[in-house]
Amino acid sequence: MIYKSSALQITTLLIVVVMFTTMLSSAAECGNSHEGFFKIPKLVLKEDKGIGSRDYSIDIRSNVQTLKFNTSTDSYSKRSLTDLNKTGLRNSNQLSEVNEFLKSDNISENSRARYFSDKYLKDVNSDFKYWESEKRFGTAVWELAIIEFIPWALSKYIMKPGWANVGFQSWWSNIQNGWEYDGDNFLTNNFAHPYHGNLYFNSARTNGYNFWESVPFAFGGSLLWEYFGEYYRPSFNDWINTSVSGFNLGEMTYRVANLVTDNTTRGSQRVWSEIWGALLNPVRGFNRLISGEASKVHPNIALYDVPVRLYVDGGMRRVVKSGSDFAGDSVSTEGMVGFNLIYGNENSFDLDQPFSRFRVWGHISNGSSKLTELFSYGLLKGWKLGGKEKNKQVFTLNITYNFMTNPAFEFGGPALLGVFTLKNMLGEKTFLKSDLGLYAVLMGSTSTEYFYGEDGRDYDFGPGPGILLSTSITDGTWNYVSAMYQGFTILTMSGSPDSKHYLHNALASFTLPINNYFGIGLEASVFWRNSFYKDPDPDVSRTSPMGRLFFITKL
Amino acid sequence: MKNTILIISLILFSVSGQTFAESPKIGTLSFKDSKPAGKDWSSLFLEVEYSYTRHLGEYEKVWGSSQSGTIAFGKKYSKHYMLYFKTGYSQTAEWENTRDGNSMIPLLVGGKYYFDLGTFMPYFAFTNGFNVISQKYDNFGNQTDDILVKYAWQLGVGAYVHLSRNFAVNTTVSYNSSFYYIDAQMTGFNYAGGIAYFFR
Repeated sequence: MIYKSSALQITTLLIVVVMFTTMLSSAAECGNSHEGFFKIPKLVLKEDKGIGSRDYSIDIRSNVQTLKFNTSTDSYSKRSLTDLNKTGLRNSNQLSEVNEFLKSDNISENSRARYFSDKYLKDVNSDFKYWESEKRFGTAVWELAIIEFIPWALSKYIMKPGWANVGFQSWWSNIQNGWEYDGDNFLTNNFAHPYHGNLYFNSARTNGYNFWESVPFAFGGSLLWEYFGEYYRPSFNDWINTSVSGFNLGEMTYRVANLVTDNTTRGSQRVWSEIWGALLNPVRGFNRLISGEASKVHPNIALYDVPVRLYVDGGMRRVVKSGSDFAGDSVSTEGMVGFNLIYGNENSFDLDQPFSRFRVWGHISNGSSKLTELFSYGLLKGWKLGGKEKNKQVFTLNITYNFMTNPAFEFGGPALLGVFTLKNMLGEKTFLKSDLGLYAVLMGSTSTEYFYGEDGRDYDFGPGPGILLSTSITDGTWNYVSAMYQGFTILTMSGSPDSKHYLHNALASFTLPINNYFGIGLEASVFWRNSFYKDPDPDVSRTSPMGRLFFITKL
Repeated sequence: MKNTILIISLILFSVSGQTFAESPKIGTLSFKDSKPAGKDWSSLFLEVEYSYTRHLGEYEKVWGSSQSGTIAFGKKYSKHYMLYFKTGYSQTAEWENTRDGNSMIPLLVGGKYYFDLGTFMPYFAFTNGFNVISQKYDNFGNQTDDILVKYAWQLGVGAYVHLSRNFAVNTTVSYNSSFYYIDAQMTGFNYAGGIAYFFR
């Protein structure tokens, strides 16, 4: 199993290195090449319907008007890209609008050169066709096959761990015998597999398919791997973790990569923007190389403009590893840093557009469990139930990723979350936000005292329901006061026979903003677990309270 | 088994014969008319199906083949996609016929990715959901009265052949996999045939 995870890491590293070197030479040609890496047919612009597709035309017209006034005949010299970018032009539709605007001002079409550089006019034209504006089934399938082949080939011919020795006999055996649960370690199942699923998903997502159309690629890619890529029987937990957490991670990396790659820049700024984008989403980076988009100056799509907030916090925590005495021997003091990324405008996201709003947050500590928590919520679909802007109610269906390690329990796995959200204004800017949610954990993995698998697995697998209750007083930027409870039930399908685990986490937090960018906070939380086992194994309860003091900054 | 296939074949032939016989009146039999292209892809559909499953692996060593009758209701909502819900009743014989077999009610949702070539409409299909299995004997021969709810999925290829604008004959071959016991999962190849009605 160690070999399998290493193969994935080496594959990823190889892809990144090849892309990095190719991109450097490709992006360096930005200013000269109009054909990019390969010649591609021109396509029409695809705009992903979403929160970023809001109407900029009024601002743009105003900015272009200002640009016109500031352009004297003497300074006819072409406008720099920096100036042009200030107009807010982001896509070809907007450029067309500006052209119409200029025409309506009795200016001939040719005189656009007075306002736009030749280079800009040549590259940024309304005929620019984006790679993703067309569904490319063949490319998507080939890329999926390559993503499957590389780790398999590395394992088969270089690392030779045994599981890669597949053939007709193992394939037929897997078809006959069907699912089992595997013995990979906790981190491999909760991290390595979702990352691979993200690549499967993006083989379609970055080839013109929308979110829902790309989801089957994650499921299909993982199914192929489980049945035909490994000697062992197909693993059901791998399939769920790879597919569900894969498309969850995949859509987030797709959107964040679109935020960091700026198609209108050149030189080192562009090179770095392409590198960051490719590191976040290697499949998209690869497609930008073969399409030439990585080396062309062209308009950004609407996803480039989606508002994002990133908070970073750091501080210390005291954790009670057993019992509840904060002064006892089982208390440890640890340093802790974390982040909280909020994508999309929380007040005006598109309820019909998957992942038009998502949130990812996590913490690492220098204690025994390095990664203490990592969560994400991504919108799948929402319904406005009533109320006006200031006091509204919505119901949203989300896909979540959950990972927690603390002295009371480990827990990981994807879940569906339906949330009823209420917003009530308390003042001009301050409001009370309350969530009532129900989880359906699709494949949970959690601690057990009585199961030790042949491969060293020491945790149980199973689905189960969960609940989320949270409330906060906030101004949209800072959560002044918040309280939250979430509980999960895991009904063991593999591991300790006939066992059930009840996992709980309650939290209260206070944040005091010092200015617009900094705040200090205090948090008290408690984790507890009640595990019920089949006789004669005794049931187990564990509790771990925690106190945390932190600084927080908004970037 | 042979009788069942014969009866279904006769029903299909009689329905198709009747439809063809009525074609001058309803005027929807030509290739062009039966193609929904270019207009509205959306239509609800109802499907009735008989299927035979040949099981594999350890499951097959205890249990014989299964026969099922299913009904599916769904929507064709764009040029390539269909979504549907499928349920029915399935009976599995015990291999040596010395004990009672088990019965099963599948509750499946899924989709088809189809290609509209006129009268011929091939597709890929994936469904998943739960099998509610009722058994008097378990896999090891122990007497029991269990109701098991197990995750199941099917992946297959098939085709509709349109007999008229509304009626089509459907055939599918799919791979089935359902949880049963970890060392005896319910896997097998499923051969299905039926008739579909498109509401348009």
